[in-house]
Amino acid sequence: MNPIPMSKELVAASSRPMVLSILAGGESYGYEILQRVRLLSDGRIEWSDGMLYPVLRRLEKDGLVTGEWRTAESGRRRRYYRLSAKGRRQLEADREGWRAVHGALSLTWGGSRV
Amino acid sequence: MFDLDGALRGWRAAFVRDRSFAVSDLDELEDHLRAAYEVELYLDPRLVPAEAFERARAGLGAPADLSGEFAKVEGKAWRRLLTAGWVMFAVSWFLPVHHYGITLGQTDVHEGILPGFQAFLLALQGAGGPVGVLSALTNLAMAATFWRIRDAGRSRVAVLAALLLTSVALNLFWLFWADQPSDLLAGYYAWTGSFGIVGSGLLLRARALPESPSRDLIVAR
Repeated sequence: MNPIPMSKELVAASSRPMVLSILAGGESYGYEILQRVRLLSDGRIEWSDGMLYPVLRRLEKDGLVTGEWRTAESGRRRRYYRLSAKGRRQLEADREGWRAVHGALSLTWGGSRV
Repeated sequence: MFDLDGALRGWRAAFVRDRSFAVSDLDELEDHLRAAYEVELYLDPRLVPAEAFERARAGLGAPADLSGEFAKVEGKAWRRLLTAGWVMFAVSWFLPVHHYGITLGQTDVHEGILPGFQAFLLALQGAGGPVGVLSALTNLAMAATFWRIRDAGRSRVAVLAALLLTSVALNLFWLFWADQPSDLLAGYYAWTGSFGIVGSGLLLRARALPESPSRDLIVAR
């Protein structure tokens, strides 16, 4: 599918729960996280590559993820990220919030509450 | 034949020039660029390597596009410290630094209070002895931070930070010189503190800067 045009605000607001959700499934690194976003959204959500890294910095600064440099299978140094305990709690809170938003919007648009 | 390492060096040099990125930021972005380049080649075998690199580079964005986002995260604490320190330094020149002095036309030293600019002149004339002269000259180190500090390289920033933090120690001399430390007033503490604040800001800045563009390019290889 083709990417859906999304406002900058929506992309920014959804980036944290998206990254935290992906890392809840296991540690990952920048390029892989971007690929996961494309895959999970069936190509409808496409972040610009460069925007992810400031998001990761912010999450790390806020203590929601931890980053670690390791040598990848390719032999290159790569920074891997994993969810912290604080990040897991934040993800739960985000999940509740987004479910409420999604449920309300679904009803408004004539769908059924999820 | 396409020289990937050469192309990466060129790409990295542009980011180093921007001076908004820490070395670890550039390492991570470079890893991304390499991965994107390999995937571009894999997905479209008809692409020549230079085209694949260009696509990967364009996908990542230009330094100007990324620097603003990185800056928001870092919050530019060093800039805030520098601004606060500079304001404090400027104000200290007009605040009273000592209980005794002849100021603004007064004739009795016991009636006046010595403002910063006058204390500087007295110190320069040797009122505090050689250490006092040195202490007065520390203002030159502060003045050097006003000149194009945003574009300064790591070594210059680190040297200035060291000079300013050393100045704090030197300027504490006046505490021992004064008959009573309580004779020293707000201007003195604001002046001395401004060196510590600006020095700390420069230290933060130095830590985030690559050691030098040339060394950074070697790392990129």
